[in-house]
Amino acid sequence: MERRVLKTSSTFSPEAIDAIQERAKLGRYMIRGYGALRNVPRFDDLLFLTASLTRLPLEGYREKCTTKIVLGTRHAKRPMELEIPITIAGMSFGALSRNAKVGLGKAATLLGTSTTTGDGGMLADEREASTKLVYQCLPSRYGFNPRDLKKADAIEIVIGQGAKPGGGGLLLGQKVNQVVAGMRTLPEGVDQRSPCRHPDWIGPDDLRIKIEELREATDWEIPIYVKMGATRVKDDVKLAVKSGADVIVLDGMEGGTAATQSIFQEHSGIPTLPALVQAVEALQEIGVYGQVQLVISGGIRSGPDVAKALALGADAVSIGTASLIAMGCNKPIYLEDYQKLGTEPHHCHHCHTGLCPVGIATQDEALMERLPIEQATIHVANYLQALVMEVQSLARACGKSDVHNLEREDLVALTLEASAMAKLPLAGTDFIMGR
Amino acid sequence: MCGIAGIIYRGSAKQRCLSLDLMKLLQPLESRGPDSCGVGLYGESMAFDQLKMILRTEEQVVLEDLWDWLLPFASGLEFKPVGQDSHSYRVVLWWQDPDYFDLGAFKRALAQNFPQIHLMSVGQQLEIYKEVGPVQGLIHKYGLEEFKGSHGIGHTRMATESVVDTYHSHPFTSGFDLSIVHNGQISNYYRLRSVLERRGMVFETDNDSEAIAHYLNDQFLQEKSLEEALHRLLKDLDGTYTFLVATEDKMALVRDKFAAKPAMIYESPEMVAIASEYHCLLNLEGFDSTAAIREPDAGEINIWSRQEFSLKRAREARKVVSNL
Amino acid sequence: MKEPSVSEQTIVHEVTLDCAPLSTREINQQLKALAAEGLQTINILNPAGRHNLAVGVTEPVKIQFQGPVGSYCGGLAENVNLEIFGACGWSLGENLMLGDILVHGHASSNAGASAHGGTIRILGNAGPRAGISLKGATLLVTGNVGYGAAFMMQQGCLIVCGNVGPNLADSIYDGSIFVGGAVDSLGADARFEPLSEADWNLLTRELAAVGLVAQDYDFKKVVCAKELYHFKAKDWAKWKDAY
Repeated sequence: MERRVLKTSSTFSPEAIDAIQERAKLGRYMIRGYGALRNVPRFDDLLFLTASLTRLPLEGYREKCTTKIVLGTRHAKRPMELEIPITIAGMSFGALSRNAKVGLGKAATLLGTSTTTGDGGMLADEREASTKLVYQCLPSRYGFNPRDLKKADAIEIVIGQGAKPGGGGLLLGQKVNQVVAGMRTLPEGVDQRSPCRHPDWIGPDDLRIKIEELREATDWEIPIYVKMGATRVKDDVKLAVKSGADVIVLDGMEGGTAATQSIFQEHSGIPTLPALVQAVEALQEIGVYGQVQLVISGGIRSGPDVAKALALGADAVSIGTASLIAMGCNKPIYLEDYQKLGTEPHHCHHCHTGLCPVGIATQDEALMERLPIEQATIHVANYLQALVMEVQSLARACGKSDVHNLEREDLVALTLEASAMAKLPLAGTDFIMGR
Repeated sequence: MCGIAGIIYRGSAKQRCLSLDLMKLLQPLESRGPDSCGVGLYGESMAFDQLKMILRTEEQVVLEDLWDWLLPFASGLEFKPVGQDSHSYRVVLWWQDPDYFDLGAFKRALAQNFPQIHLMSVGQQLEIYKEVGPVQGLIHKYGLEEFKGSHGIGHTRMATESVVDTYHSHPFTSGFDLSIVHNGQISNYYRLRSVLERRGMVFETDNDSEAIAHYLNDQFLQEKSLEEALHRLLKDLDGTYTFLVATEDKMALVRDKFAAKPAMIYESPEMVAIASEYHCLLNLEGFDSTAAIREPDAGEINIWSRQEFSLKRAREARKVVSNL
Repeated sequence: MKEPSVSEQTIVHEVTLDCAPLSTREINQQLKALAAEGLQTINILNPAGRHNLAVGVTEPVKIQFQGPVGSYCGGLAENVNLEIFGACGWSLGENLMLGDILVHGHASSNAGASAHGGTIRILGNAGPRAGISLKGATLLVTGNVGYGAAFMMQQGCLIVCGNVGPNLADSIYDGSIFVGGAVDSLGADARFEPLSEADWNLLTRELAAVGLVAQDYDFKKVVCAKELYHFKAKDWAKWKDAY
């Protein structure tokens, strides 16, 4: 028999075939964790023009490169002061195990930054572990209460997130155990669907009154963030500012979740790179850039990602998925347990199952024991420290004594898409795609 | 995202000042709509063979040129500058053939000869004034402190997707004596627009609210009554909308099927007043605390007509019995 | 604290606060200060439909509003005792944890949104989405409620003496709803259930508190059918309407 070459259809690829057959089995949309898996233009497509003869690079150590940032300077009596421009994004207790939440809190405290609650309320252990805690106000209002509100260091009104802008939350029954159900006032074991809109306001004109309510309830002490998934970024950012936001938190499509319909992750929202650029333009166009701070999230993985985000105009970044990976998500251990889920390390996005082999995205006590808090803390703290050192190295090499002095002109693009989206010249040319 | 208000008087209301009453309703809404504001006032009615137009221009116009151009359209002409900066004019024309006036052709000809001039409103009663900035500024600029009329609508704007400028502000108009103000967002605007454009409507902005005006005008051109037109609109328009529409003798309030944007109705022996927020009504001079104040439900249409002055409430096919 | 002599002793139980010259922030600050001083009643004049009054209150001092209030009155309160002589705007008592709110007038949309505990009584109509996302509180409306009442209700009790608009209890998780008048339509996973003796006792008690008799009404009970708790492909007929 002659040896034939196997031809693969691009339209009906193995993945597409699998997806069709999955739908045929389930009779509903597919659900999974993580963010967009597909390839999109990202920060990798940008490069730094570090110092040569033009620009003076700074030495390490004594030639300081500072990293502090203050968020929420507009109205709050106690704005959020951070030692580093990297925060931990909102992830719910329920989606994550207690040990994961506490580990994140302790690591953030070591580095002088904040963590954020999630779609499930404030876990007392997290408040204790985290010196700076941002309290999310979500459409579901699960566990939301005025007492926790007064314990918060900032409030984040969640309009949506990058993985599923316009979609509500989802937590499948196997993760709605007694504790989680109690915190969320739900029947145990139910497949929980969160609403996609807030119950007590609709539209930015009404959001304005809601933000005033939150300020009154907290005596105007703490800043109010507004978090959105990146879609019509320019209009959304301007409206959020007009409604009274002190800080804009914008989440690109690479941003993760523990569970949502995969159609949202892959087909809604725009990537973090163009989202950031549009958000900065929007703030500049209405003259509030610098007074209303901008936090960007969605697939931030490394020091270069952070540095590029700062150079493009973000005041800080927020990290979700990567902090879990630092703790052990997708680590090649407990291999049989990955296989039981139908996946392998480095390929797992099965947070929705609640059977996380490394004890992060689960409510199973036995699995959670695989994630001791001290170990989780050290790993995340090390990771954050590594990021900070990487950002400082790049900033010093660009001649900056503060990482926030990184600017657009320090960057060039490698691809046409990145050039168009970031409005930066293609490396080695004067050509900006689209200009 | 915005604030809306409207007033229709019962009877002659000689002692009330329409512009001031509307201003009282609109000022508290500046917090929901800080960017710009506008009013559509139904004032002194012209005779059957007269048409009133409000023209606005960004740049100076040589009046003689405009006069010369307009004259052939009409058997008589009256020209009056309105406002402080000599950029707006109230024009009254006497038509040679009062039964026929091709508004579309007129607008095209105007755009061709005087591209800097905008036709803000046309009809026998309606006058539309709109500006970037606060309500007080608008009233002052156009000398509307003593404008008397039978009914009117107003708006304060927080721009959502389109530009902040005068022409993107509300009220929007499409045909004679037709004005609308809208709070919300039409989510199938582009589809509607392409259908209406193919039917001959000319859109001047990319503000979704404008589609409501053209949609209704299109219905009127097909001889549908206001009530029928509004029922169809509830089926055809998607998204969130609480809006007021006014014609030469009617005002109607429509709320979308999700009741997403607010509105309160005040009904006293003197008038019917509508505002996005309750506390605006308290601002009215001579606020009658015994007046009926109610909130329309989702999908509810309310029409008030000056002809019989009868309150006509038309609900979308549902049997809801009022019990209180 | 100085020991008062008999002739000097003044005991202040009630204070009147006039909103007219004050900003909303000043009103709320004064409210909190007066509550902390141990007052029993605060009488508020000229609220004039303002938003965000009595937000974030922690003490059940009695606060009486002599006039209509705007949106979020009594919102984010841990423990309140409010009485409003007038209408109120959106989201009355949102996220209430404990306490009582009584309105002599109509309430607008989202009354009692996400309220966890306590009782909200509206002697009038409530607008659309009354009791949305209710999490354990009791919401009583003597008049009618509008569209989308008790949307995604999780726990608690909604009692409506009058009629209810379309889509009652859409996507409800748990809790009980009693309707004295007509129900326009039910939402996804909501169903009628016969009333038990305990239910009638509850209604008698709750209505007596506002001077009404439960037996005068033809109450119907609506609860979660619990058929949509877990998705099952073969139950597509049931899921179709939910989508």
